[in-house]
Amino acid sequence: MHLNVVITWKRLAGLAVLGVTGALMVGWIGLVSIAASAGHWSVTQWFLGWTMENAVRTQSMLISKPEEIDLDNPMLVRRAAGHYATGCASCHGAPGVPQSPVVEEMVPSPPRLEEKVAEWSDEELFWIVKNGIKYSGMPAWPAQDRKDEVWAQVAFLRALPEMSRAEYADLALGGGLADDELEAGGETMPALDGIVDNALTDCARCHGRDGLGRGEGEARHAFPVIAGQPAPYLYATLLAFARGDRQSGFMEPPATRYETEVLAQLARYFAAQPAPPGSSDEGVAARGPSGFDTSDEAPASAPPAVAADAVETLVSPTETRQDEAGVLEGEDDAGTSAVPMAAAAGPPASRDELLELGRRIALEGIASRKIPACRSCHGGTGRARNPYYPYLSGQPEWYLSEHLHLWKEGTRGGTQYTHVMAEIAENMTQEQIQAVSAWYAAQISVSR
Amino acid sequence: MTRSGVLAAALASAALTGCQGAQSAFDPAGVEAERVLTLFWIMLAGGAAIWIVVIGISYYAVKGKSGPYSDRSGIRLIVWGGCVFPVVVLAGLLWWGLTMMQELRRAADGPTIAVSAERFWWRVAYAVDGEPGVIRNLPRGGVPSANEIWIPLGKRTEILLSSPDVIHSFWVPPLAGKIDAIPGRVNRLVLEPTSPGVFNGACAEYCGTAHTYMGFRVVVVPQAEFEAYVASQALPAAVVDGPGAGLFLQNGCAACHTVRGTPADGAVGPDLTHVASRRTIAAGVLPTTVENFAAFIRSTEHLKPGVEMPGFGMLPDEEITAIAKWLGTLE
Repeated sequence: MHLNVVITWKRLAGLAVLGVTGALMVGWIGLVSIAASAGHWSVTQWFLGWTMENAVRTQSMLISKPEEIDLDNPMLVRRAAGHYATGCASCHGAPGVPQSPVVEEMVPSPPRLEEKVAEWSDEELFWIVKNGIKYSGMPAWPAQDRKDEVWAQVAFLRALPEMSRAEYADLALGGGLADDELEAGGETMPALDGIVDNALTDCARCHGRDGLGRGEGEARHAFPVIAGQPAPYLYATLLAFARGDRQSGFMEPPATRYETEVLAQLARYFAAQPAPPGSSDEGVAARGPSGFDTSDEAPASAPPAVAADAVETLVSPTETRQDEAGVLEGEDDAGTSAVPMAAAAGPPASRDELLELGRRIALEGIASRKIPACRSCHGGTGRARNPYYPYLSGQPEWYLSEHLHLWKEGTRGGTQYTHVMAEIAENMTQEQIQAVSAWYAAQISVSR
Repeated sequence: MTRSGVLAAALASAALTGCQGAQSAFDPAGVEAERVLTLFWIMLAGGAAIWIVVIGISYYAVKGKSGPYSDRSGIRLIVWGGCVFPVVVLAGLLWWGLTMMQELRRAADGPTIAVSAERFWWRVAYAVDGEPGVIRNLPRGGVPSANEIWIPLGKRTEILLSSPDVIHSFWVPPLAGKIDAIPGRVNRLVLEPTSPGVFNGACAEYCGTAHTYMGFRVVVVPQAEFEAYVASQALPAAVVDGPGAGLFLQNGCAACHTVRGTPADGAVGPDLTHVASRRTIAAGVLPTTVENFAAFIRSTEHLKPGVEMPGFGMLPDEEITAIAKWLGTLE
């Protein structure tokens, strides 16, 4: 057979119209196989899987793991473990946790990750966890700006194949369930139905019932310390997570899981837990850890006057001179040797210098760089404090530094006070953030 | 006069009223501003005269004469009008300007005041000693204030000018020309006021979003009054306790602001020890009243877009009111 067809613009347009109409007809008739029970033809399944693998490979090419992130760090593994139990185990299962027959009927059915993670590179895992996969039921990370959380989750996935049932129960489920028979899906939402004690168990999986954060040894400082923080701060923070004002893939899910009344009770509970010794200060102790309304509390009496030398406090110690033309002379500047005033100055050379810079920022601030002293708001001896300002002593170094960076980048939401901190973090250099985080972290060593 | 003539005259006189007032270079109250104004008028008159002559010659060349020009008169016009005349006029202006500058740069015989131009306000220190201070190349110490500079009448006051962040420019049009505040160096400007009064100053170099709102006041008073003022500014705050003072500390205001006599020792923002004695708050944005203190604390960004101070509208209203009332007592 031989057909002579002349292709004209009109015929091409007609073909296109016919194609679209045809596609609409197929959709309209309603006989397209969408039943999960029908599954895919094996060729379709191969094609979809192949396409997905190629997409992940190509689209993760521009991701590179930040140098400071060590995926073998047990602290990162612990940070993400609790979230694995709530966010991932319900579909993918976990050590000692079988997959439910319900999720096994999904098309595509979610794989057990112990067997799968080895097939992907770190960057590809990061891409999948952060972005999710369309049409597969795999969700994206709820807080797209929190790359640190995604990397922690990748660290957990890397540890997963070697993880025993007991280790998993300890890391993700609060330890108490290690000997129990685990249901399919693990400890998931149905078990936590809003009763305060269950909610507390939920919090305690990561933060511990004492609010100091679980984990020993290298994993010790995996979680921020919430014990003894003022209740209004904790409550406002939980509400900020629940509303999505503060971004976290780890904290938004639990904060949305409970009624606000439950959140308030949780805030009061953790506020009443003793803070690690030395981290709190008289100001907070005097106000009491609970109590939401501050207006009826008398402000602290003003400490003694400092009239005579007050003028001097305006001045930072420095010996820089300048010649007649107004040009700075020399670098024998007591102020600059410890504090990189200019962007070009290098970071402090030793750990001691770093801590000294941190101490100075925390207690005195660097006025000429528009960095006020942290203690003006976050506590210091004898000062009353707005109950929405948390204490910082003894917080993990990574936590302080990560959040200062998030503020600096303009992606750290929080309570109604968060913009105050953004204004300050904006002016801080990387070295200053590192220094002040190290100093506050060193103010206490939590012993348990 | 025709009707349009009347209208034009009315418009012109209305426009000229803009030439008077506390921020006008046409209403000089300082030696430098007077010279600058003289220079301006002479340049304007000279420029106008030359323009009329050039237009006249052009008109003559196009319309006035029909016959050919001689080479000789053409060359003479180019040599005298195009070479000799501009050289003489420009050299004369240069000589005049240089001698004027020398006169204006005479050493000061009055006080030295350090002024640090910062996004978006002016840090002021009277009676500074020689040591470098908080803006490390400006002199340290002295009597701190902000956004209002008092200077003695008839004296040559030296302003030392620098900046910790970006380039700003210090300009009080009725008193003197402007000079830049440049990070890392100190510029000098001498103000020699010839009549008392309150004058407006402004930042004259774009420095960020709130640049427009970076104003200040210059108050010219007799020498004795100036000295009394500086002495009063050196005192600690009049009221150092009470609910407002407690809330000021508790909410962290002291992180950035100093109120001498209280533990508030922040040096990031303006010294508030005598804030109620100043004419304006927020660097010339609002007149100083208790209501304006409260309004500004509540919503800084609304009243001064681009401001560095965060708004504290999340504080309970009664706390804002208490702090504002306390600030109102700090005279």
